[in-house]
Amino acid sequence: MDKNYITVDVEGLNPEKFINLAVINGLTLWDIERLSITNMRFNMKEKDFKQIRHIAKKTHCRVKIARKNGFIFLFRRLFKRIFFIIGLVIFVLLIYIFSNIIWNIEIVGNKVVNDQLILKSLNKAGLKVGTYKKNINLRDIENSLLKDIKELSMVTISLDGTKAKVEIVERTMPPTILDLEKPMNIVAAKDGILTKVIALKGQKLVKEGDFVKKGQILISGVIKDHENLPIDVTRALGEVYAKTWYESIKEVPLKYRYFERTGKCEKFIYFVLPNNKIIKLWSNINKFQFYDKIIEKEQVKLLGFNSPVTKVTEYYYEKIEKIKNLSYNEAIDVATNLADEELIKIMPKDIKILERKYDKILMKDKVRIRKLILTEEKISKEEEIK
Amino acid sequence: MDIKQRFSDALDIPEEIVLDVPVIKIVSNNKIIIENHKGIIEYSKTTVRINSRIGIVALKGEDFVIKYITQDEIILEGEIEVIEFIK
Repeated sequence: MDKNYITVDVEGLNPEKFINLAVINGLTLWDIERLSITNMRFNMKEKDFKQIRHIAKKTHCRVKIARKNGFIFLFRRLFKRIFFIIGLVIFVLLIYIFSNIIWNIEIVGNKVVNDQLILKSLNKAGLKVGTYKKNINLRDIENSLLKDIKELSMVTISLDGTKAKVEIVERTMPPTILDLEKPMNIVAAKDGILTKVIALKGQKLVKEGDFVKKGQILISGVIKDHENLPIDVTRALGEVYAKTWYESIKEVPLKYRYFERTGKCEKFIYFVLPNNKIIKLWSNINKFQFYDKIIEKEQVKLLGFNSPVTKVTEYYYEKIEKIKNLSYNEAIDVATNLADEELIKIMPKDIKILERKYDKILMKDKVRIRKLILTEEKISKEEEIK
Repeated sequence: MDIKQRFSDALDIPEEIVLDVPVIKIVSNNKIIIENHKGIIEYSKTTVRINSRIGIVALKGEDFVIKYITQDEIILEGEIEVIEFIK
């Protein structure tokens, strides 16, 4: 029998008559069952139901569909909610598509080579966030990565869901060999009084205790004889140490002008797209005469992923100019602090400090502080001979 | 003999077609197939009476279900106890 059929209840004084009439009209019924004296239940094809109604009227019976069986009815019911179905299909499709896209690239095992460099190279080879999984050949990408970055000895890329894991083994690079044939001078990188001169190769032109200026040749790669005629050109090797100094002079007037924040703050937010286009939510006009400007940049995160859009927040803190009368001691303190700050900025960090000198000059309406730090450092620098 | 019967004998045409009599086939005691019927007179769980050209075929038994019914065939299932032909 057809799998799509309906179960009908018929109620009347003589349901046998009803069935006879239906059969005579050419209908096929099956699984007829007597429920009670007046009720019968049977199965039939759905398309004949109209005819059945007609017969029921003739025989004074009542018919009612008890159940609809089969897929066609389910489909018909679902078809009434077509947009629900479309939504469902789109949902499944999206899940399928998005689960086939690489959303995350993880780089493991690199010590020397920069992540950014590897990502760039991967990008060139065709693996980047948003690539469709089926379009990439992992072995090709591995090979192209190996060719691209010489420091790598092995690359294994594996896909784990939407994540691409790049495992890297680095090659230990041979040490760079000094090209001894290349003519080089050793010159001073800054002014200073020489404390130690170690010449390994080349002609020494200075001795300990000499004062040298920035750029002066310390060890020459051009070797000359007594009559000042060049004999040979080589690469000078050696190290030269010298006493150097760092100085900071600060003047602070007794009528000290400084700025103080008033506490007023204006905030402007705008977005920067990857092509440097700026999207302003509202125009920013800064009304303050004096202000501190602080810019905060933040990558906009979408569903936990970094998007290429940058959110920039600008804070403007209003400040006003104030004048304060200082005593000599206070002025010295302020000037010393300023000098210290400057020295920290200009001095290299790992440096040997020999001596600190500190002068203060009190004048009529201002204070001058001079701080001098004597240090010892390596000043030799290689320079090519043309 | 009836002329129709003789006719069917001579031409080797099945009797039921020429004479329009029912063909009754019983499978074990729980299935009965009746061809060439003339409609149901009574149907309940315990008794079924089916009209035919030769009279009423009355069945008694238990749990009768009409498995299939068309214009010329009835398949009936249930425990059949008595089959009776009433002229």
